[in-house]
Amino acid sequence: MRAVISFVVFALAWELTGRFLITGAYAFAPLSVVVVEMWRQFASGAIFPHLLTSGYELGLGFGIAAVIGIAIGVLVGVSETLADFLLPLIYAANATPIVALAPLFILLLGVGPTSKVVVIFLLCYFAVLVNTVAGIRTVDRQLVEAARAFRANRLQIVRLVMLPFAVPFIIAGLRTALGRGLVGVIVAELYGASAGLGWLAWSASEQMNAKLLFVAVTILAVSGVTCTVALDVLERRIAPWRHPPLEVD
Amino acid sequence: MSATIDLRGVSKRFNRGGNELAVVDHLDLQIGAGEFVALLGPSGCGKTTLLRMMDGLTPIDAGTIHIGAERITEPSGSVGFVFQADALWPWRTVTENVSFGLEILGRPRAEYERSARELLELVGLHGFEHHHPHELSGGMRQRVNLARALAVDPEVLLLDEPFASLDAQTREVMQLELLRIWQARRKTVVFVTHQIDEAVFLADRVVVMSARPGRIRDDIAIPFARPRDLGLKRTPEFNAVVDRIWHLIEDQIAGLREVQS
Repeated sequence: MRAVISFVVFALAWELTGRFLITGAYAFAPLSVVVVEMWRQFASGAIFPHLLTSGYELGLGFGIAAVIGIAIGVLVGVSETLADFLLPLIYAANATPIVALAPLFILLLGVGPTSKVVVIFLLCYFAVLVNTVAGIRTVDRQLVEAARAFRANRLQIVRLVMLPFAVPFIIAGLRTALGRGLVGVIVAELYGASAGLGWLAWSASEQMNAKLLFVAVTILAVSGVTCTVALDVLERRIAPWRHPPLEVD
Repeated sequence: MSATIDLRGVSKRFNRGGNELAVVDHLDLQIGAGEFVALLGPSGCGKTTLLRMMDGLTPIDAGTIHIGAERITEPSGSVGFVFQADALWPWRTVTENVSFGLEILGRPRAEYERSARELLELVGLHGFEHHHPHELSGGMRQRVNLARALAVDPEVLLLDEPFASLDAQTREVMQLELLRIWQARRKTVVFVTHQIDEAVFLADRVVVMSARPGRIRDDIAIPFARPRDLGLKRTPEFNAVVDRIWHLIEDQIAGLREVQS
């Protein structure tokens, strides 16, 4: 309920700012104008190539990063030796602003979607990897011990104890990765592209078309929120013990 | 089904900050099939280590441990272990926790679900099959812990201070429950505790350990008839036995204090 009030106030503030405070049409646009423009973009179909391009880049980059990140994360988390060799490198890579490498990948792989997929993959990969490793390595020793007492072998311990224990960590990693991925799409497209929401926002600003710029940004914001909520729902379903049911009175 | 436990010359040393520490030293102990033995001693006397060695969870440095005819070097299928902190897997339902052991053995789902249902009935958790551990009280979680250990139908049940974290009333209820379940299933039981009255109330035999190095200091037969009820704890005979054991370990606790200070 309070969240709804916040959103209404925010929408009102946006509208009023656009109507009375910043009235130059090329710098800002009130909410109502953005909504109309959004409708027009969808009705004419002009927005779809951009949606598809960005969606494809993010989906592929994030998807591959999630699969490989979890797989490598489990391996590094389980093996002390691998962790000793790789963890310093992984932490360093995770702290590097990989977005800064976007121009390099565009130079190497061209302005098409491939260069963006690679940038997004790298951005997401380390977030998933670092969190998966943390989840596996912080496993409660007692839970492993209990499985060992029932004569579970190493593979069974990984599958039945370590992996389920790491699920909330992995989901946290996916959430971070998604946030980075969304930024990655925009920034990578800014450096050079021919379609996509980031490119659309950039070209709209070049044409001083504020309402189109806000359309692109709003779509990105809504996608971000939707994905986060979807991950929360996923976590509640597969890791219900992390969410003790609230007391009903 | 129950089996004998036979420990001969068992020793264990731990390395703590460069110092070799003899936790258990040339320890011999024989436990008969179906017997209920309480291992009693102050904290740090190596009783938990000894229990873990009986299930092969902690390797021994010297000596041999046999359960029945089987020599123990790693966790054995003939042993059920009840951990102090319940150590239930939080993402598994009560049923899934209880059936873990049979699942590992590759038994069909129908079989281990039926066995879990029966055991939950036995430990008084009928109706909680699909709850997760976090929805249960401490006493209920220890009931699950017990059912889980019984699920593989072990010949020996090892319990490591299972009721230590429970409040006094729940603890007494669980002591009675354990006796009832033991009477129904007749396993050989080794029960580690530092509470004298708990040891005397539950066991046929109280084995008192001394600390550093862990050795057996006394082995006391408990004469009280079974089935026992809580009224036993208010009798003078019961308190006489508790007092006797208290005097046995009193000087040793005092000795420990001197070492520590």
